Amino acid sequence: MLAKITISLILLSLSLRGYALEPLGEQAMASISGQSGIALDFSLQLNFDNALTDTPHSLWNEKSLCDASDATGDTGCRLALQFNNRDTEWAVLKGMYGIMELNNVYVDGDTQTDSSDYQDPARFYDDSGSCLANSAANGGCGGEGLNAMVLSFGPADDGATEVGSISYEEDVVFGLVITSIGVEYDTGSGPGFSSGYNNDNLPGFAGVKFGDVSGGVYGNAPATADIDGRLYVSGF
Amino acid sequence: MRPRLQSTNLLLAATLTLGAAQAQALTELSDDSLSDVQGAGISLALEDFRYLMAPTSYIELTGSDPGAGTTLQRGDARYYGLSISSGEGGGIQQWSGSDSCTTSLMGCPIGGTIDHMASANNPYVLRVYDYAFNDWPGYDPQNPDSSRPKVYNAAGVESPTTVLELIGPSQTDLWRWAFWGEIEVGRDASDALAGDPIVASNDGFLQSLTYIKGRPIAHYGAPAALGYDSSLNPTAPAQLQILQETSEQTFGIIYHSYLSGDFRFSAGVDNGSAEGAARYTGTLGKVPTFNDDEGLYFGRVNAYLPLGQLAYQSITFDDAPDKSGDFIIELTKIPGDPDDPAVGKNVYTDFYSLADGDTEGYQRTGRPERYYKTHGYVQWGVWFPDAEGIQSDGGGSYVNSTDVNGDPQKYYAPTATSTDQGIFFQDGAGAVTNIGTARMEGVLIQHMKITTCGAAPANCN
Repeated sequence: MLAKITISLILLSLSLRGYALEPLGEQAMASISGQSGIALDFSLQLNFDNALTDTPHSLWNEKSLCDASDATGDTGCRLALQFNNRDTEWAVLKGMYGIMELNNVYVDGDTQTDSSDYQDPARFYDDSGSCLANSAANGGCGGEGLNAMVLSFGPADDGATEVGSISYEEDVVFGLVITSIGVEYDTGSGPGFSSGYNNDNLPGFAGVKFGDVSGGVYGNAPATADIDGRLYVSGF
Repeated sequence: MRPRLQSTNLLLAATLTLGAAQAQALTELSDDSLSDVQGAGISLALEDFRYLMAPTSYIELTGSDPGAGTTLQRGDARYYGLSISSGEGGGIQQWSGSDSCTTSLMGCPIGGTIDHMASANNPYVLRVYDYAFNDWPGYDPQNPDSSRPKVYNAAGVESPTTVLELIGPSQTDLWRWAFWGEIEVGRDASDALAGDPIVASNDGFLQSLTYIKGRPIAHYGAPAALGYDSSLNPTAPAQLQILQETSEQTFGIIYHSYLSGDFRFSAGVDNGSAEGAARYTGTLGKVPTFNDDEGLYFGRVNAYLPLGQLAYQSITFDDAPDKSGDFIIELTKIPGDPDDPAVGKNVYTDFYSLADGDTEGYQRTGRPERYYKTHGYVQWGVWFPDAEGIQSDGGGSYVNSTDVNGDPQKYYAPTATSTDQGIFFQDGAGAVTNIGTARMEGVLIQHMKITTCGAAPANCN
C-alpha cells in the first residue's frame, strides 16, 4: 500500500492571524523586512487521525490509527531498520504512533561572544593543524566572532504549570508509543518472498512510551518539557 | 530505513508567522563572512540553558508478559522528570516542589540555568573527520600511513577511519542531571481497567531518585597526577563517533565517556517530616518527595570509559543466533592474531600500549601517551597522593587536589563520617557511614556482548 503523505503549509501575516487565507497586498508585504526574527510553531502527527487538527492532550492516546492488532498480526504503523551487511534482518518498531509540538520557537541571528574562560582551539583545526575559525580572541582560533543562527523558546502561549517556585512551560509536547521492538526476517523466495519489514512472525522484547500521568497512570497524555536558554549554530 | 504508514496517516503542518521584534535582528550575510565558512564542522554553543521535563512526564520502557516455564514477572520502568540544570549553589527544589533541600549536600536535584553549558570557544562540534594521518602516535609525515594500526576485512579491504562525530566541550559550568524513577513489577491487563490512583494488589513498585552533580568531562593523563595540576592533566570531553565497522562493514558506534562529579541514589521517599507527610502519597504514578539526605553517595568521581577504538573495535548490532526476535549489542573483539605482523600485531600493540621493554603488561611507568586513550579508569574520591606525597598541617594529613569547580583544595584523610569524597551512605537523619575511597585503573575491554531475552524469556532462565 502506498503511503499517502499530506503536507500543508499555512502562511499568515501577523495582522491576519486567525483569518482565512487571502492575497497579501503590496503595502503589507513591503512592511515586512524579516529583520525582526521569526517565530515558529511546529506540529507533527504520526499515524494519527488527521481529521483532528487540535487534539486535546488528554485524548491523544485514543486518536491513533493503530489498533490493538498493529503490534501483532497487522503490519501497519511500523518503522523498520536494516543495517549494512544484515541482509535478511530487520529491526522493527511496531505499533508506532505519536505527536510532537514545538511551541513558539524563536529564530534570530547574532555574532557569538564568550564571557567564559573555557577555550579549546584544537576543535577548530583541520587535519594539518590550521585554524578554520579565526578569532580576534581565544588566542586567534575559536568561536567568538562567528555568525550564528540563534534558537530559543519564547513565552508560553497557553500558560504554564506552577510546581513550587518553578513555572513549567510546554515548550515541547511529545507523545510517542512504540508497542513492540523486535527483529523480523525475510521469508520465502520468488513469488512467495516476504520482506522482514512486512512480517509479523516474532514477538518483541520491549516497548517504549513517552507520556504523562496527568492523563491517568496508564496513559492518555503526552510528555512536556520546558527548555530555557539559547542555542547558537555556526558553521566553520 | 523504510517508514511503513497506514492509510492517510502523516500530517505535517507548519505555521510560519513573522513575529514580534526580538533582541537581535536577522541581517544579510556579506560575501566575506560567507567565504570564511569552509564546511569542516558545525559549532553548537549553549548559553543560559536548562531542560526540565514536567515532574509527571516520563520515558517508559514497557515490559512484556513472561512466557511459560519461567518464574519471571513483567517489569516496567519509568524515568520521570528528566532534567539538566545548573549545579551551582544549593539548587531550587525537588520535583514535588519541596524546597527544604537547598541546604543539604545533594538535596535539590533541580537548579537554575547553566550560564556556559557550551561556550563559543569550547562548543559541541558536529563534523565528519578523517583520522587517517596525524592523529596517531608516532606519526611520520614522510610515511603517514605507517604510523596507525591497519586492519583488513575478509575481502582484504583496509578499514576506513572517516567518522561522523559529536565532540562535547572540554570545559563547562557545573551541571545537575537528575530524574526520579519508578519500577513496577507484575503489571497485567486488569491494571489498565482500575481506577486512578492505582495501587494494584499484585503490583510491587519502587520509587527512587538518581542525581549527578558534575560535568561530562574528566581529567586525562597519568593517574598519579590526576586532578592535581590542570596544566599537566587537562580535561577531556565525551566523544561519540559513527562509522563503518571494520570486519563486517556494518553500522558501528564508538563512545568515549568522560565524567566527573558527585552521584546520589536514594529510595527514601519522605513521609517522616511534617512537609513530607503532607506530600507523601506512596502511590504509583504520583510525584513523591524524597528525603533531603538519605541515600548512597559517590563523592568526587573521575571516570573515563572507552567503548571502542578507531580502526578496529566498535559497538555493533545483530540478531540473536536463535532467531527468536531478540538482538545483540556487541563491543567487538580485538581482531587478528597478535603474532601476525600483517594484521593483528599492530592492532594489539596499539590497544595494549605497553611501555618499552615490557612484554607482559605489568610495568606501571614509562607508558606511551596512547595508553591513556585505550585504557579507562574510575576514581571514587581524591585521596591519592602525587609525587609530593601526603602532607600534614594542624588539621591533619592531607593531599592537594581540586574541588568540584576545579579550584585548588586540600583534602584531609577521609574518616568514617566524611562527606567530601569517597563512597558513603547517609540515613534520613543525616548520620553518615563512609567506607572509603577507591581507584580502578587500566580498564581494558577486549570484548563485551549484551543479548536481550524479552522475545524468548525462556532464554533468561
